[in-house]
Amino acid sequence: MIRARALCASGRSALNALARDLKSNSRLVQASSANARTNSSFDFETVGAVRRRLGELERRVDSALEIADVKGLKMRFESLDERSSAGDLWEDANKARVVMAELAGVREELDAARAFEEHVSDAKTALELAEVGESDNEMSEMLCEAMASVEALDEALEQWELRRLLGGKYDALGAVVQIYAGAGGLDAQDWTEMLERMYIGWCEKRGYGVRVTERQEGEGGGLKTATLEVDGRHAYGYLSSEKGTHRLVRQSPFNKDAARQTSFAAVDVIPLLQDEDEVKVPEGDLEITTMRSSGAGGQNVNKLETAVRIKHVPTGISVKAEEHRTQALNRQAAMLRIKAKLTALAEEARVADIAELRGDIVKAEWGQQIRNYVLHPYKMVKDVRTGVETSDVTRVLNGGLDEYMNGYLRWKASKNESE
Amino acid sequence: MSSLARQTYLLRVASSGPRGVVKRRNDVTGCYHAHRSFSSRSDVVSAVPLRLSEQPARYTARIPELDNFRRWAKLMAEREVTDFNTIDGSPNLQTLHREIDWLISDNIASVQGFGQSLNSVKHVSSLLNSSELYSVTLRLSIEELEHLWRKRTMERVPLQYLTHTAHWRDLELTVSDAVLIPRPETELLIDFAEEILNRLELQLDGTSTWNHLLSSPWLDLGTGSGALAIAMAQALQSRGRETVPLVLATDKSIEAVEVAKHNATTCGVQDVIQVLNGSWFEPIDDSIRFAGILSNPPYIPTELLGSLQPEVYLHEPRLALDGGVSGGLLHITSICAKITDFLLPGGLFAIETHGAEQAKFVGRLLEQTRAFDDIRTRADYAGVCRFVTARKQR
Repeated sequence: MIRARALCASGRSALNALARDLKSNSRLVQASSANARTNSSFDFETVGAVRRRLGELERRVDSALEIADVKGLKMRFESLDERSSAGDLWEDANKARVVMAELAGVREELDAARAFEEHVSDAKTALELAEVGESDNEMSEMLCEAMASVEALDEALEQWELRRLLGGKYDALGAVVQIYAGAGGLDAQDWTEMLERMYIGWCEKRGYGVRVTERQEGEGGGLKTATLEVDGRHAYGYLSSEKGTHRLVRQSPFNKDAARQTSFAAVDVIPLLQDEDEVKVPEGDLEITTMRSSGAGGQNVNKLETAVRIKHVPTGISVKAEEHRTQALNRQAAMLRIKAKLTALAEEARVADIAELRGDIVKAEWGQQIRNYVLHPYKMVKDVRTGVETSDVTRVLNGGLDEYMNGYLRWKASKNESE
Repeated sequence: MSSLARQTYLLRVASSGPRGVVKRRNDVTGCYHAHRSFSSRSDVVSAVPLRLSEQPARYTARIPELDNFRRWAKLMAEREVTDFNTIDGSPNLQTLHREIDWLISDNIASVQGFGQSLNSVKHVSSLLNSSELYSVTLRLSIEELEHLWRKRTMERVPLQYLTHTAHWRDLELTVSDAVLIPRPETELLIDFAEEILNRLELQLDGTSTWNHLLSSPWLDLGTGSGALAIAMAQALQSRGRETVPLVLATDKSIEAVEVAKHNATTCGVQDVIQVLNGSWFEPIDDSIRFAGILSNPPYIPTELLGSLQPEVYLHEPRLALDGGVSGGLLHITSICAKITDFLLPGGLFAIETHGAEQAKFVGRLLEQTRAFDDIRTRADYAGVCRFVTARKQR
């Protein structure tokens, strides 16, 4: 949340900076129209900046519209509209009220979607006019208009996203993605590495910062585990769609008969908390241990082993951190991780306080199979929960996950509504 | 020293005046670094090595060359590790793989196209597996790396001595083979001290008569690389303490004193730490009373030294390990004998031991003095009863 606000603020301050530039620029224009050439080249830079920003917003609009399912909404609207104008509607007053209320809701959603599109086209038009503007004044005016539309769009989107799908307490934060090879030896390790590549690809496409903080190579190739830290607006909100087991079916490249092989990898996603003090956990509930095999330790042993595991005793959930070179730093990382995980769980389980979390509340959601990736005998990636599917496996494995994530968010939202 | 012949050294030779001149010895690289010594002793010749990550970039290489080294090093590790004893705590293959990546990572000065340090960008293994055509600049050549890795696996020289680097808490410390490589377990002594500082600041122990504890220095006995003293000084500094010195540290080895002073300087606490040469309390003025005393003294029973993993018994200083024949309690006992004289009422004593038996013994010793409250033996994260903490009676 804090991060979201900060990002939003930084977006706004960038715009303000642009506005300032522009103002000083128009003063400049007034002061010396002789040097118009230099000034207009400066304006073109500004146009470029606004255009880039608009481009980013357009991508968000696209994903918002996809999530909102505008087509479905329109159909729903038409059928409701028909019913509301039917002559017999008010014969059952209760039913009529329900229809009218739903109609109002759908209309609101459609209006919001239309407003996005209008802001985009307003901004585009203003930008185009700015570029072909006859005079410097005209250009400045158009640019101001474009920026106003961009800002309005930004605000509208922010509100909509938060309200609609990414309104979870931690959705706006960055995320930690941990991938673990499941049963299946070399094939599963290879699958884990493919997933790592897939998520890095997704982050890069989206413009999110991604850091591989830990990576344990498997024997013979591939990975046993990988940990990615993802920075960016709503990274956790989107990536939380990936929690669960991912199943791969293909001809094994490691098997000389190229027999069909099924491999599993588990993905866990937790919010990237910045400050562990944000979350309180009863002290006695956390058990800190090293992964060091029992032995004399201390001065007896010199071994670069500083991994730390923290277990939340009431739920049995544990996390580990081993990406840092010292125990204290790994403990800090693990502490942030367990706290992030517990708060996210508390939210999912809808308990007010972490102290209320018990093993029986925490369903074994993690570990549920969520998506199948079939490379052989046919090609298909299908999400078990949402039914989203495609045969363009390569695109998905390169990080083309937006469809799946948006589908999940929609699915989750409708599930919550129906509950 | 000869085992480190291919590494860069700073050889600090103090001149007759207060300002030392610096003579560098450099067997391989011809790399120079300006340095001055402020030692007051005129006859001291000591060597504080340069950490690998401090050395300048001198070579360029392509990713495949580095990847080849990594593969070779892994094969080497796989071959040698079969001779490692599994019960003395010798590293396993997985730990050796991690060491290879640390070594490679510290040796990379820059990756072309990033301009940032490797750690902030990519994990070594993803960098080396990357299909992109990065080129890297290196501090040591691939041949020098190979040489170091042979020393690591065949002579069992600890990686930390080869790179002259030990990571401990949030510190990056210089280590030479004159000091013990600080252990992860020991990090907890600082947490115990922080606990007390928190209690004092929140006045959980009651009255404001504890002010003398807030304004008095701490002591680290047998400081070695200076790890405990430096982390303690930083903890006090971060709480706004200004009384100088914040921390005193002693060590019997003059080389260790030099290393600790050097580390204090690189960690920015040289002005608030005093490192003194001498055994335990010997160099401490009788009139000083401390708010807390920390120590990780040598505690390994002499008869066990030979059975330790080769990294420890062949290469780490015996002075920092050997606890004597009587159950390894020689130094612990002499520290405990004097501890009450130097602690303020309410002050903390926290000491690391060999494990449950020694810890119990220390607990009993402290009880017998009748000068302590709240005597606790405390486990490390592996579950070994490693520490004893106690507060002097108020």
